[in-house]
Amino acid sequence: MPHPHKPSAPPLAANAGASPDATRRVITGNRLRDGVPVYFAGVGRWSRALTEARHVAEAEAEALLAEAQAGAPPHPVVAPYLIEVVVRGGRLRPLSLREEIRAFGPTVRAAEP
Amino acid sequence: MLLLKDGRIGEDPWRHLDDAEPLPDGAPATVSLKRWSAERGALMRRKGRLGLRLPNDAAPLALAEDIARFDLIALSFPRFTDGRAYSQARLLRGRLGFRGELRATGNVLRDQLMFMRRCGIDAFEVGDRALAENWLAALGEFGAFYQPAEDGQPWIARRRALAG
Amino acid sequence: MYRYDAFDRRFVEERVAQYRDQVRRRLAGQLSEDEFRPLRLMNGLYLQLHAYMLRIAVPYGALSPEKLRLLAKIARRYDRGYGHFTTRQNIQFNWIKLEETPDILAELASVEMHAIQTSGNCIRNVTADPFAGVADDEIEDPRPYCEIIRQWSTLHPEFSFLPRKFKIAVSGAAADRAAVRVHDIGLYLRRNEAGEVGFEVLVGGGLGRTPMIGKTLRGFLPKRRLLAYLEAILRVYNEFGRRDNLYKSRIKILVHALGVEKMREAVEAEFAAMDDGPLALPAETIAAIAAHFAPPDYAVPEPGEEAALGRALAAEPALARWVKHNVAAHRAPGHAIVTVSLKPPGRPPGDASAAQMELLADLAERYSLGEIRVSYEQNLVLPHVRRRDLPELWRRLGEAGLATANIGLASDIIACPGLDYCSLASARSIPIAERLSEHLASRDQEIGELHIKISGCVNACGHHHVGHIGILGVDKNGEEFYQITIGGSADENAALGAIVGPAVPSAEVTHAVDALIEVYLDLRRKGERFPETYRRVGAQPFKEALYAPA
Repeated sequence: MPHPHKPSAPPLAANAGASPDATRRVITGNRLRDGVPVYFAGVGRWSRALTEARHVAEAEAEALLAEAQAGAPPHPVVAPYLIEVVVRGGRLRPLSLREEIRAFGPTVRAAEP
Repeated sequence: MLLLKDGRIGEDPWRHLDDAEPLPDGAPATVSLKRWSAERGALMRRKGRLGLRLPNDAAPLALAEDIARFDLIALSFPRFTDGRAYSQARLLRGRLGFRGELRATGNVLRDQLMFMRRCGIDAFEVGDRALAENWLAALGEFGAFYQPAEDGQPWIARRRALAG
Repeated sequence: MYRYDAFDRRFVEERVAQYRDQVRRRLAGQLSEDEFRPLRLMNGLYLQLHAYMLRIAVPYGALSPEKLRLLAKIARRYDRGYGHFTTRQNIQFNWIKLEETPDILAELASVEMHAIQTSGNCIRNVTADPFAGVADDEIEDPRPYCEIIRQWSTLHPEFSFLPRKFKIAVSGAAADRAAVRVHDIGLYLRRNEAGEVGFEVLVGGGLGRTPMIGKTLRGFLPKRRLLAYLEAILRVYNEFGRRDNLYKSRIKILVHALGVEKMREAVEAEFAAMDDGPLALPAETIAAIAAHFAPPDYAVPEPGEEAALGRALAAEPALARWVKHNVAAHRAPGHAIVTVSLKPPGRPPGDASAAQMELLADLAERYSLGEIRVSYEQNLVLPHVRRRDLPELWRRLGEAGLATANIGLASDIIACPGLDYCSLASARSIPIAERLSEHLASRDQEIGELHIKISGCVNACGHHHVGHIGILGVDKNGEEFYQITIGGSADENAALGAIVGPAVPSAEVTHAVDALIEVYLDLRRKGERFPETYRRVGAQPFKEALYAPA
């Protein structure tokens, strides 16, 4: 997986208008069927790519979370929660190392099969 | 509350009395442990089936002398992850030889029925959504178990010895 | 090793069917995550940072070629081609999909494996000395008792919803290679004055947020009464263990709160009231299980073998180094216990690729009478190697990167998966381990025995409390910092490490460890291991070295 220090994700299009370096909020969780980290991209849509996540200001975060949690069981994502991100150079970046690792993978290389 | 007992789901015939409620004539009723301690003499003398609601932090062995008076002991699972009542059930059924109905109440879920039954519980409070077949299936998921419990079944080591 | 009979086989198959239905109900929305979580945990399935993680049980660390090949197949087919061996002798896969887990468990069942109770608030994998049955300091083989406890604890109806997890370890030797004193229940096989073998039972050891060394509950328990006594302890714990506070719910907290006297009273009262019949272990029952672990017919060494080996060692210093550090004395003449290092410097500790697993299966077959084991130090053990085969085995291991001659040395580091994988972690541990092992490897010989243990959070899965040098990752305002402890020990002289001072940032860890090692090398007497030096000189010289101005 590409690591944050060598970014290769495409620039954001749909979420332009966020001021640079302002903290935004994104919803994430692990997909139920396979545990993969996904990001809420809009009603009924969850994406593996952080770049496609809907991001809102702090004031709208709870409403976004409610939108993400809605739906009859089985919800496709386990326990969605809010994370802080920044928009830097047109790209979303998580604030915490933990969320960076979730988004981009382990920072260590595993054994070859 | 619906009850699963003897392979069927049905209405609960018991009344569960608050501490101040008068006892109904002859109808089966349960009382709290607190009330039992306070009104023991009168409750002993009362005609009709009597049940006890045992909190899950109460010591079951303290009931040793009185156990024969009860036709029902209701055990509590406040959260299904709180497993104290499993030990209470085993002590009541096994150590004290309780012969009446041992009932699981509270957060009783299908996937714990087998453990409860093995500990000697023979009646289960079920939610409205329960489907009898699916819950009964939970009781039949394993043919043999590795350890003795209170279900009267030979455990695997015993079966091995019998098989020779 | 233990072989399933028809009862065991049927049981794991029924378990797979039960779990398959639970997964179906979860995916269909009939079970909430709250209701499903304990069920999947009791089948070893965690939800971690990147995917589900499956922890497969390796009872008391025992593997066979067939099992290891199946694990390699699982790595390739369901994961990313590698697995991680843990500090409880189990194996973990990090990239698992929930929807594939019933099939994985079905494949495991086909080789007499499972993931039962490797997580959850129940009795976990019973761990043992990886040199069981072959060590030359053994009083009695602990494995039959591990197997007996394993069966008794499997789906125990009374103890599947304990206040918290419950870990048992058993050792049968003079040296403790199973960290018995830091387990919820620890068992030592002991000989009494009459020459009978029984158990010393310890309770309330544990690591984590509040580490404690276990206390002796019973100095000598006859074998016959083992399960009854364990049941008495578990019953007291189930009734009185705290359930109001996640961080105070282990049995060690209960023992600490009551004091060992009152704990003993409660357990002995329950034990005395129990009917001896159902749980009694008559000699025949023990013998039937022990028969699975009977020593193999060892080949008798031929004349000249040892001399030939001597010549090989003299000719190849690298081989000699490997034999010196990775090979231990065996009770059978002409044989050796080989520890395979899964700690190549600069790489994640305890990992093995599918190809490595397949090779090790072959090597176990060819050189170790079909046996291979996991040690809690995240290495593997080949327990029945003929000494004359050591050079050839070493060469074959070397071809696969499995011949690092560092067992027990500074670069043989224990580390948990940490923040790279684990959702509980505060900081990363693997990069620290990689950096340190790479840095220290060239000094392994000079430093000698040194146990460095790294945990990525207070849960202490890396056993940092009992490292000679322990390293605990913490989160300080979003930055990774590392708390260092010294003087810990996991053996029969178990001790908890002492904090040396404030946590240091990630970039300073190597320097800090170097400074501590310098103090040790400076002050140690000939043959003194780190814990002995520390006990003799105290923490002060170490603190000064670490925190004195540059």
